[in-house]
Amino acid sequence: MIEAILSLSGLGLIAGIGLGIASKVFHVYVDPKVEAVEGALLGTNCGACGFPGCSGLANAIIAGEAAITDCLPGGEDVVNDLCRIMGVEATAAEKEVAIVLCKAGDREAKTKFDYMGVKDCWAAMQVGGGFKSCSYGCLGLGSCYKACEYDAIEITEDRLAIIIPEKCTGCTMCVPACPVNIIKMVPASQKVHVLCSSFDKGPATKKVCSVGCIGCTLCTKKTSNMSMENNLAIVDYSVLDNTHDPVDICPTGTISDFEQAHPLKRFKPEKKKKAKKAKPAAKVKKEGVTAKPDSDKKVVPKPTEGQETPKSKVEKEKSGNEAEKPAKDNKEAVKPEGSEKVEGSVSEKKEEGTKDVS
Amino acid sequence: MGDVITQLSLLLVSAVFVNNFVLARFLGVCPFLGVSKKVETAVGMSMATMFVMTLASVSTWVVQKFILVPFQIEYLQTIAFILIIASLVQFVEMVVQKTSPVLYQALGIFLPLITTNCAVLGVAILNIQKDYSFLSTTIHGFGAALGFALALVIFAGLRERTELADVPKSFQGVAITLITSGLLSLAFMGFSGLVK
Repeated sequence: MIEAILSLSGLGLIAGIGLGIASKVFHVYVDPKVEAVEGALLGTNCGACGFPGCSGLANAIIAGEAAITDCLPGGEDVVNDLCRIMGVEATAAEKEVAIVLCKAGDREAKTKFDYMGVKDCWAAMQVGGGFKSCSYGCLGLGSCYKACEYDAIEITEDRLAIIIPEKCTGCTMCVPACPVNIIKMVPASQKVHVLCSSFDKGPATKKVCSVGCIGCTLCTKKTSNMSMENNLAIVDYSVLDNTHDPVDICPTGTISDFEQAHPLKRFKPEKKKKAKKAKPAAKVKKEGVTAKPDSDKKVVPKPTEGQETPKSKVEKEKSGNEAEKPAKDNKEAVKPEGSEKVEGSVSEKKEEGTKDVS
Repeated sequence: MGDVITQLSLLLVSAVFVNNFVLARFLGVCPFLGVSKKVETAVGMSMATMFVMTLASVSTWVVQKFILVPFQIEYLQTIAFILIIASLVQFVEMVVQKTSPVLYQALGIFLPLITTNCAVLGVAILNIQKDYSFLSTTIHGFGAALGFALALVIFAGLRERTELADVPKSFQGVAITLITSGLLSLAFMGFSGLVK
């Protein structure tokens, strides 16, 4: 018994002392900043920076081989932390998100043949350069979806990949995952994009896709931040002309406001929770709609009336104080009040309905 | 002399193929399933494991012969071996970090992970059970590690391919992984009878 305790604890003691000595003898000086920097990074080892893991980036930052803004998924918070550690001033890093520069699902773009093979864009590209008639089109088989570690990519039923900008961390893993090479990084603040990558000439594009850029150059003539290159319109994101003008100009609808182009469920968060409530509310809304074919017209100018009524009240009082004006004024003032109440209730119902549905 | 060499080479072959640690003895299945998603990481893990398993075989054999047996405390074998292996891994990590930063970077996180690998403890205990000599222990430890590496790399290659395959929905994920490993184990059973 005593032997066992002694020998085992002796063994442990020897191992412990050995390790203690070894840690002194084989001590490797690590810059304490490296640990601090590594602690500030996300620690997900996503590889977006191009270094082997977060520790690799930390070492590179200390060695001056990488910038403190190189951690793309970390965003502003990490950059600020690193600024404090490194004693450097922050250079504003615009957050970038990935975007699929193709708007055409199966409905918009023609296909060459029915592809029944392996569900992978790279595999599909082996068969005659993809099944889409347009060789710059999204195949929608989800190679980027698999590459995304943040669930930021959705594949629609139409076989079109859509990257949700709110979820995208800008790690760029999906960019090389696309065999068609149509995923690009764009500034997150920009919403207007040319959702097409086709370098084909106008007629060729038009033949295979209803929403492709046909190279009509209309947008370049009317706005300052659009240019043409290889039959494709290009947004110059550095020029601050973020008006929605090009969206209205584009005849094919290729240039679009991303959120409007893809009104997916993502832009209406908490849909599932409210979906249950929405059913009864939707009925109310329908009833409201059916019940107020007459009041419908009144609803439209409602806000202006609502603003006017207090004024008209004041006017009424004023007119009462000053002198009694003809009865017409009073009638006018009274009528909106009555109609306002009715409309108010209707509009409230309507608002409820729309809220719940969304 | 020639006899010894034949015996040792037979021991090596048997440890690698016939009594493959993962596929025939079912030891070290955790890293086998966990670190086999990419061939690249599988190779890194294999290298680190080979390193540690060989060293652990040798050092535990020494501890068994010169400490546990003389004091008649063989029943503390498991805990003593775990102690040895854990501190050995730590020690190796320190030495590698100091002497070869390149190797340290390559092995990376795998070195500390091996501490809890049951294949390492398994090979140490098996060496004692079979009453191997010092040389046989070394060869057996290295062979077992080689077998582990072989299984891990093959399996990683298989998994990279199943990633691309159109797997039926009910088999996706862990299910197909386990089935694949079962089939691989079945294939390795073909080696039984090669060496007695």
